[in-house]
Amino acid sequence: MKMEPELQQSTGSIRTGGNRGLLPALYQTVWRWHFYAGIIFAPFLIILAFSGSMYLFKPQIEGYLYKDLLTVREVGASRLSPDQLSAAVKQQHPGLSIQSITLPDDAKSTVTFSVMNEGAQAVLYADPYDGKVYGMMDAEKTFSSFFKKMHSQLLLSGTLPNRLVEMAACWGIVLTVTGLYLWWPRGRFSVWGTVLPRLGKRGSRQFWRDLHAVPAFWLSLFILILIATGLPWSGVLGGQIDRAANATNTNTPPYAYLFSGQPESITVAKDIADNIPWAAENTPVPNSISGGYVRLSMNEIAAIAERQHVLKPYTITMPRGDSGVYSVSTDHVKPGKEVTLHVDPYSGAVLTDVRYQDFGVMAKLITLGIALHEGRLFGLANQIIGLVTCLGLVLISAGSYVMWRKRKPSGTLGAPRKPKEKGVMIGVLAIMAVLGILMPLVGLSIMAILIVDLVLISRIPALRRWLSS
Amino acid sequence: MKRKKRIAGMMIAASSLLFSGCTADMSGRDANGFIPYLSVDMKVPTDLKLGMDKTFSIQVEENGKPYEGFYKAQFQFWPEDGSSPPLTVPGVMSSPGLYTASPAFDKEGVYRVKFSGISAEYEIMPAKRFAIGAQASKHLTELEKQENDAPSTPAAGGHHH
Repeated sequence: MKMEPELQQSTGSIRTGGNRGLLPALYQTVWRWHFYAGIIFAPFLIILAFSGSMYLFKPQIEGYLYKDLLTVREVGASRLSPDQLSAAVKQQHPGLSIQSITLPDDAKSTVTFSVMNEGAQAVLYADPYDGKVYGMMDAEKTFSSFFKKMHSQLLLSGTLPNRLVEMAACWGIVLTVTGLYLWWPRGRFSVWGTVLPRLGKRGSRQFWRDLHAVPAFWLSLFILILIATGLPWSGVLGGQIDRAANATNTNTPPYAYLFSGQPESITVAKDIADNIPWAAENTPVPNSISGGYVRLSMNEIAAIAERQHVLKPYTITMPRGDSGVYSVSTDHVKPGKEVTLHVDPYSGAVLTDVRYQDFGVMAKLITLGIALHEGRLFGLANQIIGLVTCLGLVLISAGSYVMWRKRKPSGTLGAPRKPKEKGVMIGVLAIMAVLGILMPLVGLSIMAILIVDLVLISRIPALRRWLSS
Repeated sequence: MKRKKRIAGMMIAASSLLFSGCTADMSGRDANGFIPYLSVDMKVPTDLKLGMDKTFSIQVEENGKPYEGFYKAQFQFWPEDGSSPPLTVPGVMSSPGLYTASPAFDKEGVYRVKFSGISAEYEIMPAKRFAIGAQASKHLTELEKQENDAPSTPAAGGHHH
């Protein structure tokens, strides 16, 4: 078996040319998987890294872009109550319906309303001191929502783009692990090319190889952490993580988040019959009647939140329909102060109260992981580490393409040759199968590759040659 | 042997303690995930007449049992149009968990009654509207109909990914 010359790294590499053996075959097989996964998923990883690096700096960028909306012109002596603010907003924009109000903890911040305006979801900013509306933005067109959609949906709609993102992220783990195996120094250790890049021969294959492998080694742990902390949101693996947390009772208690559902009011909202007999003609109107329960005001809900020691900033979400409840959820940057209350809108009874300290260990880890992923866990240093990792990922991915183009022979894809040692191939496949079980979309894509290989590639010699299969 | 058993027992106790610290805190929550709460059933008399006192009542229950733990229980009555200040009447516990008040009204109109119950663990504040007089009854009916017909608040909220 003739090995690819690229395997012969000067970093204490294995000299494999013409050699047979388990280790070279293993190297070759791992390289093959790394190569194909990289070719397919590197573009997705570049998109994820780019959009993620933008989202990391959401507070600073949005703070600059939307300064006129987010900051009050002048700090007043006293703030308007939530009900007064809502009334002022509705007076200035009669057509809209308020879904939620977010009360800030900062005297200079405006109050944010989530509203429905002419059938579209929008974010409205109002001065907490005089109720003046500073402006409204389409919730789907803000800076952060654009990059959020790019990061989670590739700016497309539907479930498929989201699954593609998850698949790319999972293959990112496979790429990092296989990459580390390929990077691992074999034979005599040399600092240059292993932990420091050899950048002397600019534009050479060695230059691009080191620009790919050395930063990848340094960033590998950060990349793995960044991907792992993002996966709990994913549709398939995220669901599995959630089920595992539930099965071990290490998840959150019920109703910890608004997006995971809300309970219903326990008070029978209506006492009055829908068909009122006296409302019909020729029926006398009674001398007195009782109405139904009156929904509590936002002021009363804010007072309940204060009494329950919910610290600002928090959002009060309006009940949905007659049987809906008020929800109060905190909006803190750093994790640890999370509180979600659901309050009966007719009696004021607090039905659920879930706080960070009630979370199971897995839910706590996921919460911390989310904050780390979004650059919120330890301030600017967290953001900079995230940014360096993202930029590194872009460099590693883009560098790998240059490296490939440089060594790619014309007429073939330039993939590492398939080793003839079937035992090694089966062994690596078994490891991949384990990864496939842990990450279902990786498993699914491996199955797809095997089917394509069996049905298509193995039967078309030209294709087999092109793919070095 | 005894020593081994003791060590094993200590290890089991330590791991149980560690494990219990890892699980979600469900203490005090019911099967639905609700923390203990008070449920209410407020009754407004339907044969109200000017100058006559009728009994307003509220049955308060905790987990299906009458609740008697309020240190403050009161009813407040005021006209919906704000034409006069609220009338505060202490809630009298007539039977376990049943708080009542019997005010008299001297003016027709749409009113609101609000019960405030405060204890060390709970606070509730249910309110209802009622009307005295045919004109006011008609007005209240229209008011409630308008509120029922108003579109409900659409879903809000979201998540990062």
